[in-house]
Amino acid sequence: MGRPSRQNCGSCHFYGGGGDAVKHGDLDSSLVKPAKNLDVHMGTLESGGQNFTCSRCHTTRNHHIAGRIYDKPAALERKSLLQDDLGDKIMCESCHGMQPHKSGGMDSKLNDHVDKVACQSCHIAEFARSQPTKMSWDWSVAGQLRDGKAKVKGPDGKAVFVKKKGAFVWEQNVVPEYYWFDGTLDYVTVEDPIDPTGEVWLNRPNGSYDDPFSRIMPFKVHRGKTPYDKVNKVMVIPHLFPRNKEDKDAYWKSFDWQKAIKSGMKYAGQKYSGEYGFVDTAYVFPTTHMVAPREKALDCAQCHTKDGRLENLEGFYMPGRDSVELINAAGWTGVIGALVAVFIHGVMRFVAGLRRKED
Amino acid sequence: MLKRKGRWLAMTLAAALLMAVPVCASAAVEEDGAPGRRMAIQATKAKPIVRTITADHSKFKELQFDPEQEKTMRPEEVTQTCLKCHNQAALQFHQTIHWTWRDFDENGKPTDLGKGGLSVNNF
Repeated sequence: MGRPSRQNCGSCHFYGGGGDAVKHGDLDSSLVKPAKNLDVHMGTLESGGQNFTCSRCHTTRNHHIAGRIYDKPAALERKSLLQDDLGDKIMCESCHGMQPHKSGGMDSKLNDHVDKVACQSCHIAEFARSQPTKMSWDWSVAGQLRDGKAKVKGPDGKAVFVKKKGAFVWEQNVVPEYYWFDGTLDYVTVEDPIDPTGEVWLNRPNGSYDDPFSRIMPFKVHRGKTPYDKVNKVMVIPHLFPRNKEDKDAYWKSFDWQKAIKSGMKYAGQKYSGEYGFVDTAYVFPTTHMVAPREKALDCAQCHTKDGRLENLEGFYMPGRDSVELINAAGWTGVIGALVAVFIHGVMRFVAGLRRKED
Repeated sequence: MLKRKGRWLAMTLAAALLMAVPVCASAAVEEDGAPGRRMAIQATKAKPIVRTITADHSKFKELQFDPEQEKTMRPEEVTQTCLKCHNQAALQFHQTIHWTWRDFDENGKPTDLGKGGLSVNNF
């Protein structure tokens, strides 16, 4: 008898999406015994880490485990556990407080960022740092063979094609995408209409620059090509796993999308037009595990520059990234003008001084 | 003339000092002791003491199984033993996302959001 270990929780959560490191990008089997470099909190004591188990942050009440995000944030308030010992210990702030960096010098500037930038944005510079994670999954090529084979492995040993599932792209040390995030995600269900002419975001971070509770957060964005109903313009739920030996409708028995979608949608109580296609989709995962040692945190110029990490975030001014040509020109004119004036003034005083000497 | 030289010297010194400030600041970063780190260390240090449990489960007769019998036992049989004393655990568990695979509304009722509901993903 004992408290759950990382291995206990990990038996499911490290293998989400059908295999090790597939789903999250920041959760995989390397967290069973990680080095501090991979995760400062869960890192083993020998490597200088804190050897945290999952439940150290995912605190529990009556078997409810803090942390799952749907339409409610993981925690309503960002406050120190010293302020409220009964709160869920799920936020960085629970232990690190609201002014985590030193005051004075450059560090106090870091504390000025905590209301707009989530800790994870700088402290998890890249995800999938130990094993590659799946970044895209094309279901439309499933059911066929590739080069006559049902399974093709990539250079790193991970499968890039499987007949049952389609084609994948794996990536390691991935730079996240950054979005405003208020702690909740908006989800597309099988009942919500979609626009199949563009990429369909099956979930999306809620939040904006104007919202005082939103901060910039890093995400793994998993791209896919998934089946949808061409007439009703909704996503579909295909029936994948055969229920038993007699079940001929399951995709992984028949390799027939038509049968699988019909059966899956019927089971879910949904209408299906009978016409399916494949649409580009995106699915986001907040990146929050595998926090790197503080020496590995991002420096200012990763974002405060043109074409930096926050290039896609609009609607606000960011020093180093944004500038107005006219104001820049006026500024530089002033600077150069001042230098010229100083030079002329200096020369005049020098000459005047020489003259005085002569006198 | 001397006076003027002194002024130049003072100005040069001032400029050198100004340039030195950022260097000092970056040296300070290397030191330990950010308040957030100190707080976290303090907060987590107390944990093992606070969480010490008062029962040694290895001493319970109910949990001592015959090694031969253990080979063929199903995990659920052990769970049954737990539930004899932890008589609220199963009921609590049934109210969680781990069991329903659905999000809950304000009244604690499962919604359509979630893997057990009508959510879709692309993996």
